[in-house]
Amino acid sequence: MIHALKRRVLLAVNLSAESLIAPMSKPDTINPVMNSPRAIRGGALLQSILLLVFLAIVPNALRAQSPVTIYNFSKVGSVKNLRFQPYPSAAAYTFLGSTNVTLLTADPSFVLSPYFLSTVTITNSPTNIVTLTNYGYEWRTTNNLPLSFYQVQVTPMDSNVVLAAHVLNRLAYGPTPNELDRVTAMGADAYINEQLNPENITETADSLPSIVALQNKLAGPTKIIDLARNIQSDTNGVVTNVICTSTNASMSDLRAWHTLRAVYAKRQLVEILLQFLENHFVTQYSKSSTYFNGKYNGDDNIMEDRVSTQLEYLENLRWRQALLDPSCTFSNLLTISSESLAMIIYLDTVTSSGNGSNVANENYAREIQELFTMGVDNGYDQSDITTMSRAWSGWTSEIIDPAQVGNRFATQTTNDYPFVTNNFSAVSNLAGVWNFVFKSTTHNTATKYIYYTTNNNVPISKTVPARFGSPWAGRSYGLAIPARSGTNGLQDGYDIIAQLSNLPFTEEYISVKLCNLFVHDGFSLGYDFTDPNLSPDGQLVHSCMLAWENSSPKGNIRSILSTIFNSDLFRNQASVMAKVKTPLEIVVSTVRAISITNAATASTDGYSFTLPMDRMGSMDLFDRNDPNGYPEDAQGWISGGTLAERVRFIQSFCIASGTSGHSGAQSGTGNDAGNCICNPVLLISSKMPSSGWYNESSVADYLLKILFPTEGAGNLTLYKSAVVNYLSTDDNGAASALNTISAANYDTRIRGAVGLLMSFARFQEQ
Amino acid sequence: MQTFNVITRRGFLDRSVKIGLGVALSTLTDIPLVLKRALADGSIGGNGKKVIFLWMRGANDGLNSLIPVNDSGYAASRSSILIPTNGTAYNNTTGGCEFTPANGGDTFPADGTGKQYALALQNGFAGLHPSLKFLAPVYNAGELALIHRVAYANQSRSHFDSQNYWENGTPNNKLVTDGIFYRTMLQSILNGTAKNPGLTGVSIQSALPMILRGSATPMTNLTDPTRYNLLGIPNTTAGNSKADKFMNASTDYPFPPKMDRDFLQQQYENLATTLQVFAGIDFSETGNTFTDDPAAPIDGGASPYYLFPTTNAKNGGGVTNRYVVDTGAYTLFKNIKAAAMILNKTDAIVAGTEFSGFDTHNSQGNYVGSHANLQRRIGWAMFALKQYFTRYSDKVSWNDVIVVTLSEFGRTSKENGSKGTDHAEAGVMFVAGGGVKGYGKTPPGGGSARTSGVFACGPNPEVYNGTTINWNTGTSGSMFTGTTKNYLQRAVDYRSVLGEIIRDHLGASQTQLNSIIPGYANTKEKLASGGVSGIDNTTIAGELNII
Repeated sequence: MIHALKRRVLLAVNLSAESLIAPMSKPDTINPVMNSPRAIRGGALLQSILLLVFLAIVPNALRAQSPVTIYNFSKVGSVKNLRFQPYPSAAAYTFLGSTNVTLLTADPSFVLSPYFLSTVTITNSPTNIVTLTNYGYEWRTTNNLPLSFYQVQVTPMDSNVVLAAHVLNRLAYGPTPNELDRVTAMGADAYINEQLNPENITETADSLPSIVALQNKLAGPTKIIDLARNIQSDTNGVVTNVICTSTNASMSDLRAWHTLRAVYAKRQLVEILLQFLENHFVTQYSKSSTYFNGKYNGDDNIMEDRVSTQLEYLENLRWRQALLDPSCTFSNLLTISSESLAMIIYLDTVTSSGNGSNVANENYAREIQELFTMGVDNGYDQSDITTMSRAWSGWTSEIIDPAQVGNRFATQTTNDYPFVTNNFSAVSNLAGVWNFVFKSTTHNTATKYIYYTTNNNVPISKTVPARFGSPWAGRSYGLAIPARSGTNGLQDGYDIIAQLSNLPFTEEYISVKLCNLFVHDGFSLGYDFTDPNLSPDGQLVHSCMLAWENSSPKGNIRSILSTIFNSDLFRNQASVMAKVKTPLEIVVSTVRAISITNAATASTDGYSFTLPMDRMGSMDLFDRNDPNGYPEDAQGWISGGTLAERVRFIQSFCIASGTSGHSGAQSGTGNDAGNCICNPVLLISSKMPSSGWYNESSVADYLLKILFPTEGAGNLTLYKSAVVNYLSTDDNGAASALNTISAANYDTRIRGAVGLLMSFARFQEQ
Repeated sequence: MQTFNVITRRGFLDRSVKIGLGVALSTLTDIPLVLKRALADGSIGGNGKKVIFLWMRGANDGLNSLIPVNDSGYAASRSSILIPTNGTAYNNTTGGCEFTPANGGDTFPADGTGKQYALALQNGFAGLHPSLKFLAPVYNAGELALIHRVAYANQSRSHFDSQNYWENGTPNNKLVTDGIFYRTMLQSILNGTAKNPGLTGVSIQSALPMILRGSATPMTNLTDPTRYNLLGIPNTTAGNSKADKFMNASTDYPFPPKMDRDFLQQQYENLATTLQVFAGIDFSETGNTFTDDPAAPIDGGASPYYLFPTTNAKNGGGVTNRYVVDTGAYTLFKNIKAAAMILNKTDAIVAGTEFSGFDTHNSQGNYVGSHANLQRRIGWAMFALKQYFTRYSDKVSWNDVIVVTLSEFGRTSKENGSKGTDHAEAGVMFVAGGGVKGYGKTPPGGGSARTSGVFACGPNPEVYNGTTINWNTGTSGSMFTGTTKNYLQRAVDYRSVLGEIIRDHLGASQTQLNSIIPGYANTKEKLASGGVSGIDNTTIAGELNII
């Protein structure tokens, strides 16, 4: 059992009377480098500053980032100011002071107070002048005591509590109040173990009525022959065409299903990984739709949309099944992607011709190496792309007889839809199922040397660079594909998949992406794994690669994930709250944050996430235009414009449904949250003792605990005073205590307080 | 256990550019950028000059935009995507760009079967994609530079790396994580004053692009300017005001440093600031009343076209065969309109947006199709911006504005088996503005008036700064270099074009430019002078003297 340890940071200041003239309004100077005490600039003001750090034993469960850095002490008259870098997850700061360094006593008089930093003035044409003032904060006390020594003690939060919240931020779409309690009680390690073995978790989301309905709609007609269809006739009543009807699952249904699972699934890690896979092996629904539009004209795009939706769903379903298998490997996941007709269409293999004088389309060959396996310029070059592109030629699509599904050489079905009596040969009148097939007529049959150089026309395999170290460095990784004709040409692609799956470049790139997903955004390609001073980031990537290499079969997903989750880096304060939520993560975590299973405190229909996510930076699930997938880093998502959309969604969600700001069409400006609704008063009455319901401080404490569970009261001082102030004033700022207002006003006030805290910067983090 | 080296938000040095600069600038890079500006002076932000950038993501097929029709290698390498030619006007060497108003018919020139031909630029060599028709009036006014064969040494053919390099201005160096225009804004006289430097650079798109990103100050990105306000709970004036007040105050609260925390905090401050600024500009659809000159409508119709097509009714003549852009372009033009209005009505210096769809690996089309639709957007955008800043001049006029396009690379010369083109090297840049010295204009420094506004795509050797640039024709000529003999070779570095704009238009001193685009300080790069690049031994033009 890990105990919270009291950490003591001593600032001993040896002051003389001449030195105490620090101007209050001077902008501060902050040491840009942590861990190195330094003299304050303009050091003549203070003769010396000595920072003594008494390091406690670091709790293994959650290592602290660094000790507190005190960087400024000043005194103006009787006012003494102390500035130090806040300590992560600080439950409390204690100030000790005395004129005798050996007899320090607690000084509770220090208060966190603002000081002027700067003003910003913007002149906006023609006469609109905006002035804003920036403040810094320091700990301040006023007394007439003589010069003193001061010491700051930090009491960190219980690291088990922090770690429980951390794993819910990473392995799940954020905490729910109940999950926070459950995981804190069971311990983070037990939760990690639970989530790494999802087949042992009873998935209650599978029986939620909203999900069941969508599931049935999606799972029903996966074959075009089964799709409900209408009949088009010519003026003589002769049936000429059959068209799809809208009873089948559409893209909005798939998105609702996917995001509802993100909110409600017990197998949260599976949902996180599915989104990762969906985004890593990115495909674009509308590209498929455009492709099928060439096959189905005149039916209002319903057929192409439904077929394209199915392709995304089938891909998702295969990954889902794979992840429930303890022996699942990266190779399994890559194979599913390569065989997905959505991918074959997305990166243009479907139209590629490499036979004869045709130049094979390079798109898939480039991106499977750059983005799906090896990483950009990591072990391949343009000639590898060009050569590989020929191998993929022939991987294309066809509408085939349902009985032939799985037969990669199936030919176009000859079954017409039963009612058709004219125009038999039109693809749109064929009854069958779109499938990935191999067509040897467009395949390039030549011998292919990939990852080879030539010396006097003799191919020489490339070798793994020295930076990879043992066991990889120096390995030959050339792939020689023999000349293959006819249906044998299909094997070219599978040879490539097998080769790419476990190349050290792939191990590195995928490990980097997983570390960026689960730890922080700072991992990158290109570490020198032989460097004795390899950074902790590089060491973790290396550990993942070794787990990949040493698992049997290679590339076992759970082994790699387990390496990450059990790493020091994952359990370090440096990774806690170090990531900013993506649009998907912010909308899902917003609902989860105040959702409890035994009361209707927050809910969504799933559909209502689509528009807000689009507004928050065009995160359109299953429809990414660029093959690099949606970004995982903060810079890719955060700007003034997208923050405005995030805050608007949160505010609309918190506003009572049906009232201004949460009513009307979601596509307008007055109902950003749509059918995402909440009832925070019900949450408070369900989870808090009644004695605290009308106590501003108690309500604030509870909300801070569930919304910012990794941060301690020591650092939430200003958030708390803001929300207490908000709760105890009316809209015009006049004093108005919670226990004096109507039930309706109480409801609005609580909604406002939740919305306020969720609109603060820390709620954007995870 | 090592820890992060976290840089705190306020009062710190902008380090990221320093990482990339290397030795050449080491003496300057230890000085905070704000101080460097004071040392080097310059007049960015003080001369009233502005820039609009249009990012064409996905890599535009430059060979089908600015078409080397008199290179036999062009027709030999393309079949289904070929832009056909008609007549012999391409051989003319005077007369500017062909332009025929539609006079009520289809907006774009076509023969009786609907086939459209490359417009002759009459420089003896090149043609323009017919969907770029509306570039002609800008070109013929001498306000457009059409620059071919633009790339950089050791061209990356990855979309994402290459976009990265175009934006950070340091090819093949990913360690530099701030952008060219960000660094330009840091050198503006508005930085280091009480003005908010974050408002000097604005993008209107889904995310702040790297070209405006940097760690010292947050540039502004608006996703939808018409929705840029908050709600409050309750959603009343008082409720909104109360919520805004509490939220804005929270942006100053101290917390322990975390990896993304400074960045997030900066953007929150940016939100707090810009909410109040942009509330004063009418970005609404009803406010979109800007039109072409009623006295001389460009397309020969009775009434002038709207400059920013944001609805079918405001698209060209309002009927299908007189649309000036495809119906998918409305969001783009909403964003272009916002960028133009922000430059025209605020102190912003750089504004821009992006559009994608240029990654035409399959079925890219020819005079019709997806690539043609994108060309229409470029052509109409340039014309519309010229008319907007000419007719609705507020803070600035067309002479104060330069519009520049960016695109990460060109595409393969030879058509692939999917009737498309793959990733290659050099592409085309479009630079428009009242101050551009194009067709018929006298170049800076004097001399005879230019007979062409086409650069690096002509029949004769072109001499820049004493360096000769040739376009070698035929199936083993300029279009067929590189490892697979399928790429157009570079003759112009994109940084030379941007450098000219930043120095000669925006007003950077050469010293400032050397820190904005570090390659300028590296004598091997030849960005200003031209010559044989010491990086890849390719002969490049250096600056083109277009401003």
